[in-house]
Parts: sequence; structure tokens; C-alpha cells
Amino acid sequence: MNSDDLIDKLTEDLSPVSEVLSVRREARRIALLALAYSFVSLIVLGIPRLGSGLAFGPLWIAVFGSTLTAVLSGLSVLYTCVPGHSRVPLSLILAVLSLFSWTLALVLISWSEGLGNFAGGLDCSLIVLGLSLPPLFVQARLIAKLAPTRPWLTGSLAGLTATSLGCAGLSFFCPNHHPGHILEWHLFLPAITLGAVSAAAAVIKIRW
Amino acid sequence: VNEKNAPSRDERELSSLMRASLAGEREAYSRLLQLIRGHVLPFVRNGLVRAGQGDSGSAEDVVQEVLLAIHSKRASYDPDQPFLPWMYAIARYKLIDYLRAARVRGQVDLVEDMTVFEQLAVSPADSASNVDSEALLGLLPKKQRTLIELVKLKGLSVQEAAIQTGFSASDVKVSIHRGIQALRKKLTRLR
Repeated sequence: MNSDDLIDKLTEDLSPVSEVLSVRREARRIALLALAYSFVSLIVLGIPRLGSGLAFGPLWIAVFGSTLTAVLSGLSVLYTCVPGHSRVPLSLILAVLSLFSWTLALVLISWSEGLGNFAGGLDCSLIVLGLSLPPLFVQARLIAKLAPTRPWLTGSLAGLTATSLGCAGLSFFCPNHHPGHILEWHLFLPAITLGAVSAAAAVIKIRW
Repeated sequence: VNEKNAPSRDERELSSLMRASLAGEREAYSRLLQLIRGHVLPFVRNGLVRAGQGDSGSAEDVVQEVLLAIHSKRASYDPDQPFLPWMYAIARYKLIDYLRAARVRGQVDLVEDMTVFEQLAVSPADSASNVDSEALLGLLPKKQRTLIELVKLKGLSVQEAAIQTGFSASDVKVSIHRGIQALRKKLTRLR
């Protein structure tokens, strides 16, 4: 089939697009969904344990930091799914910057407080992974609808978004408030696991 | 400053045709696809030449892939965004996809070639194999035999063999590939 025949065939097959994409509208939707999910998981998992004294500080940093990272990396997922979108570099920089700043804050607090209790956090990682699945599913639907040109990047960002939301949801509920524990078991282990799995799945599954 | 930032005529025309196409207007869509083809073909040709894969058939194949991708993913176009970056990002993605697949195909061919030549490398005196490589090559048409001898046995590059024989480089590659396929069949029958 030559290109002219193909153009004729595609023209014949044309149907109106039911919902024309508006990146701004989708971006607002993603930000609201991320905030709502963090809020709902806080409510479902438990009321914040106020009165924990000084140790409560790292929790605020973890919850707000990871929610911010989730919103920004969720936006990056959206932008990387729209071919040639001009906001990809900025959104990526902001997502990485937010992740870096709150994790650095926790590292510094952890440093000043001593190493603390790192052990016994596998359950926490599993809960974070469980909480990450619904947002990962929502993102997978969005990705399938759009056209990511760098599947590995979109996949790993989707993994980071989902894990950040899981981390935000769990951090108040978990009795271990030590920043080292939060970083290791609530963020790094689930983020690396889910980021790698979703990047690999994106590379394998995304074909368009 | 405003003039500098103003969209080009192509950009205006393409984005307006795309908006009409999203609403289902077939005439606009047909015109849009023709214009896209005109923009993408030189882009793809350049990309293929830079990657050492430049022939007109491949460029046309990639352009068709781009047209199909634009058709299937037209819902990923945001009318508030410029059209040309969207179109070229898709073209680039499809070009890279094509080159990656071509590289894999090349590697597979190379592995297959090596397997056949490992089998041919068995000494003709080896009674167990009973394979005479010269006799086997003699069964091939002259063109294929000559090119295989030059490239695979004497170690000339495809370009050198092309210059020596007067065939084009792509003709040399195709002939060698076909010759090896034929050799493989003959070897299978002999064993």
C-alpha cells in the first residue's frame, strides 16, 4: 500500500474525537485527585497521632513533601504523554527538586537524631505498595489513552507518583516516626521497586 | 517580539486543519495528512541517512508508520498547544522505533549468518559432517556466490564489495542475505 492509499483509508476511517484533550484540565484533575487520595488515605488509615512530641516534625515533612512530589511527578507523567509538550523539562525539574528537598530534610534530621530504628519496616513497604496500586491503575489508564514517547520515563514517573501517594498515606499511621525509617521503608524501597517495575512494564506494554 | 513569537503559516494551517479533523471533517483530514507527509518525509530521510539506513523504501515505510500513529493517537493533541512540535515528536518516536527494529533485525541476521558459516567452516575432510563448503557455494547463483565469497570469506566490507562488483551496497546486502538463506536450506537437507 502506498502513502496515498493509506491517507485515503485513514480519511475514510476518520471519526470525531469524543473528548478533545485539554492538558490544563487534565493537570487540574491530576492535582485534585492526588490531594484527595492523600487526604482519604490519611482518614482511612488513622487520625494523625498528635502529641508525639518532636518526632512529629518528620511526619509533616514526609506527608506534605511526598504529596507535593506526587502532584508534580503526576503532572510530569501527563506532560510526557503528550508528544512534544514544552513543559516536560520544567515539570521534571520541579518533581526531582521537591523529592530531593524533603528527603534531604529528613536525612539531615535523621543525622542529628542518630540512626534510630531502621529495622522491621517490610510491612510498611508492603502497605505503601498496596496504597500505590489504585493511583498506578488510574495513571495506566491515562497513559494508554495518550501517546508517551519515552515509555521508560513515563513508567518510572508513574511509579514515583503512586509510591509518593502511598508514602503520604501511611506516614501518619505508622508508629515508627524516625525519619530514617520513613525514608528507607516508606519511600526508597517501594519507590525503587515500583518505579523499576512500572518502567519495565511501560517499555514492554506501550506500543503505538 | 510579537512577530517573533507568532506561529508560522505552516503552524497556523496545520493546527487549524487538525482542529477540524478532531471534529471529524474528512476533507480537512485528507489535506492535513498530505501536508504531514510533506513535512515528515525529508525529516525521516535525513534521520535514516544519518543512521546509515537511507533508502527511499524505508523512508516511505516510516512515513506510513507516522501517519498511522498520528491517526491512532490524534486524541493526544491539545488544540491549545502548537501542532508542529507534536507532529515531529511522533515522527521522531517512530523513526527511533524503526531504527531500533532495524538494528535488532541486523543482529538477528548476523547471528544467523554466523551459525551458517560456523557450519560451513567444518573441514571438508570431516567425514562425519560430509559438508563440502566449496561445493555448497557452487550451488548458489553466481552473483550470490561471488558476494558471499568476497564479504564472508575474504572479509571485504559491503562497501568494498559493492565497488568491486559494481552493485549497490543495499543490493550486496540483500544478495548475501538471500544466499545465506539458500545455504541454510541446503545444509538442512544435507544433514
